[in-house]
Amino acid sequence: MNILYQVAVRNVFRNRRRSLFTLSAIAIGLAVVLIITAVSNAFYRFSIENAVNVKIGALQIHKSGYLSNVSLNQLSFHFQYGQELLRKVESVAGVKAASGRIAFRGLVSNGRNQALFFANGVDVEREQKVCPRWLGTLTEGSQPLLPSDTGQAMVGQELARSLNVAPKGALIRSVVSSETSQQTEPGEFLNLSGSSPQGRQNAIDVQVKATTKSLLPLEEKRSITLPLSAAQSLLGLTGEVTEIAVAVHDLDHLEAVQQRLQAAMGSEFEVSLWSDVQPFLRDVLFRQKVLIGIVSFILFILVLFVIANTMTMAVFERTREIGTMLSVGIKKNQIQRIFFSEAIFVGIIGALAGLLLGLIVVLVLKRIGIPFGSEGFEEGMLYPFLQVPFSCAAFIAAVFCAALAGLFPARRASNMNPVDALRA
Amino acid sequence: MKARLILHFSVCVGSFAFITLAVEPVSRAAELTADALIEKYDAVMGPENFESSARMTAKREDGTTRIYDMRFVKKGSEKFRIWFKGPASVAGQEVLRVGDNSWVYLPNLKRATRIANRDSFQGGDFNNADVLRVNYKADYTGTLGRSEKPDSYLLELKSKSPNTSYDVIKLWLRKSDTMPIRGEYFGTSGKILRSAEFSDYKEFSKGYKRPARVVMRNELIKERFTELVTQTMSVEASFPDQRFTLPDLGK
Amino acid sequence: MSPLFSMSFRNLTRNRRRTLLALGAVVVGLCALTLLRGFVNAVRQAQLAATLYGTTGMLQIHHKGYVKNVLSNPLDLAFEDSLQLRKTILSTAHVLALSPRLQFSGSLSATEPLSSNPQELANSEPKTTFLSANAVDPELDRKVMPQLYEWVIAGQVFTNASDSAFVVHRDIAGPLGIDDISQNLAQPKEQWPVLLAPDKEGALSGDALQISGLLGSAVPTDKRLALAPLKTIQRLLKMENQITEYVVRLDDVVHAEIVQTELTSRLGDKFEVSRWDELAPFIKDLLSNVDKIFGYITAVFLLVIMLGIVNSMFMNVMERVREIGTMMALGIRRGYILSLFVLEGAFLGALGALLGLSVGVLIVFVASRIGIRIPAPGSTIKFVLHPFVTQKFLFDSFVFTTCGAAFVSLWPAFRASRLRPVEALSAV
Repeated sequence: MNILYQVAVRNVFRNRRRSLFTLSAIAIGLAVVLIITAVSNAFYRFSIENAVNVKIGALQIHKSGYLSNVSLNQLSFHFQYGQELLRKVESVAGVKAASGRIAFRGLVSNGRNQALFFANGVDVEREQKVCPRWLGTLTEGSQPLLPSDTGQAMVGQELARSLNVAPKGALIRSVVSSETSQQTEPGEFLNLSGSSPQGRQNAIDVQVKATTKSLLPLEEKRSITLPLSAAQSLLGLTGEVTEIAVAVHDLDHLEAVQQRLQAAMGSEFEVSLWSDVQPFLRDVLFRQKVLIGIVSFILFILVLFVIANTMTMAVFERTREIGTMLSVGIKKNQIQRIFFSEAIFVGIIGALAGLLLGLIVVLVLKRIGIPFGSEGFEEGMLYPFLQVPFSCAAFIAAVFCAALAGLFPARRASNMNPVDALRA
Repeated sequence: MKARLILHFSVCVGSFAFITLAVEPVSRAAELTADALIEKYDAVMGPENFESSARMTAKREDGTTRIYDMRFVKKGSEKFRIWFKGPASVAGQEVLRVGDNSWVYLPNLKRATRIANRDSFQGGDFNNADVLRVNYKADYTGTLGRSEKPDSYLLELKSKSPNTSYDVIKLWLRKSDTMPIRGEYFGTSGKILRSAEFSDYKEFSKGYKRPARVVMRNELIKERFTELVTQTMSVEASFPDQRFTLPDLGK
Repeated sequence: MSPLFSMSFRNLTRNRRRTLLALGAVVVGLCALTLLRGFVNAVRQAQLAATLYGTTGMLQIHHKGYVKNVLSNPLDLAFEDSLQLRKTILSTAHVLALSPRLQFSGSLSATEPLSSNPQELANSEPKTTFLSANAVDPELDRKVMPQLYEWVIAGQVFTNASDSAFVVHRDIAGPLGIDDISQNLAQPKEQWPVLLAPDKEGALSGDALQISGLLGSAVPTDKRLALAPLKTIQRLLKMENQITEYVVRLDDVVHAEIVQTELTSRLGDKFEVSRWDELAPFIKDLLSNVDKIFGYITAVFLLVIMLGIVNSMFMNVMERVREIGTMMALGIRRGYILSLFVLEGAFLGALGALLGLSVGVLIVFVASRIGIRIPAPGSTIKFVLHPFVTQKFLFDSFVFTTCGAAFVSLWPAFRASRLRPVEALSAV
């Protein structure tokens, strides 16, 4: 037995060029599969994070019944917000950060006209940790909200334009008023009016610090973001919020975190996944995942084919050699064993090389990131990554394929008449 | 002896009458307390039960005007019913409010259906009418302030509960007959949200006098205001509870 | 030149096994590429179709200022739906059909038990909700927005623009207790839910309508979108013959820009014509993302295929070292040998591409016929994929593979031409 292995190994080293060849085919093939899968994973993660990090948050906590409610005032689902609650949430394993918000609607006016608005009062300091891209896209001249802000707001750009307001630093052409045909400089302040869940009316003035751009027309026409404290005092909900957005360390284990968090919060609250809040996005991303799966599978098959091809050809090339071995008296099964061992040997080395190459490239890409942007709106980086089970499976598949691909031609050749084989 | 007693008695009575008569103008000239003023206001502007007919004109910031002719009926603080007589597009509609819930009756359907939100009712023309919802005694504490208007009281009301529409209300009342002149309505931020001007004081029924005209202005969008002119009002009528139920609407 | 071609071709047929193996990689590669492209096209198409035939339509015509309007009541920007206007639009090149619509908002209230006790009334739970709806003429709308009608998961859409029926989202109907269609249809008129909507001046009007169908979720819009019959709503809002938009369907969405320009000039400045990507920019963004990422992946696929070809060609050369030596000994120039192998590579590429693409196209065709159903988790609408590939894709792939194969064969061909005849002849 030992001798056969020795022979196999020596065969591999004997014909450097051929071995190197087959080896490189396996290595490159495997590396390509790993890199593509890593990039696809990155894209999928990017898509989710895009959704999750801008406005929604990986998980959201509300009072039970909030999401399915259609009749009652959303504000009536308010609950107390403070250090204690935050600590409870953030102490759940897997939770990275939490931030409270109030979602409400009201009327905004500039003294002359009014319009309906939808707003989020956010805890600016914490929001940054939960949704790092919560600011969205600001127009030129805009300043982002800071934790120290109390009376400032960010307004959708269509809304701002209609009410003729702009941030101080913006270069906006003055609007010609349709009634007076006079040019009016854009103002800087807006008045927001709303009512508490019990019906108390209130109004506050806010300074427009930024105008926001969005791919969603509704956001541009109606959305306003302001500091939580301002929303709380407007709505008579001091110390209260309607929603807590939660960021997690690892998006892959989201459901586990959701369950833990739900258990910690109790039945009074409901903990929802981002995909429950935005089912459309979930559907789109699921389809992307399926598609990426199909792509990876097809690519995998292709690579396996190339490996098999190479191995097969390499062995068929040695038909004469096999003929010689047969005529010298080496048994068929011994020949097969030698070739099988060779194939496995080359396979393992090749696959290792491929694994190494693939991992290095992925790691490098992970470090520097692949810039990925779309229509100048959401700029981001893709950070390719691999999951260990997949890498192992790919490795094993590559070796297996190489081995089998080396074996079958050997069987065929060894079954030939030595004379025919010698003549090939 | 008897004559002296009678004389003494008459003098006492006479002086007493004289003293009372002499004292009366003095006591009328004495300032009323904040609580008393609140009671007076509630009695005038929000009697426990009343029936009235009025015309409401709503002017919007885009320049358009809408005129509504209505008949009101109120019982207690919870039950309220309105019949719309005009314009033609809403004639026959009725509104019922019981507690915090409101329904509208549609004559074309002969049915009542719930209104989701008061503010959107009739294009937001009625949200200025919050200023008419009174029961200040229960919901507010009053203090007297210095009025810069001649011959008037300034009553400053601070809300007692978070369920009221306004946090602070300032009312100017005439010293002569405690009729309201002006009201200012503030939100919790201190910003003035609405204002009301009262005028055209009329005696609608025996001993019942009130301003017939109220102009309610949205102080955030000054071009938006509503004028309510009361044509008839009666505070004696009392309606059975049954009139404030859904099956009764349309009758 | 001619002998070169026939020689390289014959070389391929000489060693069948070798050729077949080499060919195999190319065939499998291109077949895979075709399938991939087919699937990506299908997903993209499905997404686009959902938008073009279900959400926004291809083009929409509004009164000027409607789309960006923030302050005014949208009903103030309604306009008269006239035969003249319709004719103008329909007579434009590439326009297939139009659908007049009236977009409005209101509230829907489910019937509550009639209580004679005011106290009960004071404490009763509201069963009413706000929504926004499109009033349509179903006969015309179906021709323009067919996919929307496939998103009805229960019951059906009203058949007539004057019906007294209504279609709402399942998530709205549920909490209001009006999601049982058969029950809805069996009720007498006094029990029907009531739709309250303010007319142009803000005066409230109402009508009782039956919920005849429920919409499931397939669109990113709010669950508060509903469908109502056009004439019924026009009557309710006292806006007879008025609409807020025409939704226009073209024979092909690629003509959207030209038609937009043409319609704008025909209709004048009282109107504005908007394309689907102007109305739903986030969809366009999504699609371009998909395109981008799969552009990258296609490139990689082709790379792998080229690798396979390089592989084969190298093996090819290695196997025929003695033959090359012979050729050189016979006086054949190096350049000739180079060209020979490059051409062999090219032929391999071309043949492989042809076969691979053919098999791929066949599979795609079959898949397209059956339709691949992707079940989405939790969503009520099944996405059916119809893979397809364009002629341009097939042509480009063929050309690229052939030229690419020729190009990558340069390296092994170069090595072959560089062989020393004596060494080559003595090789084993």
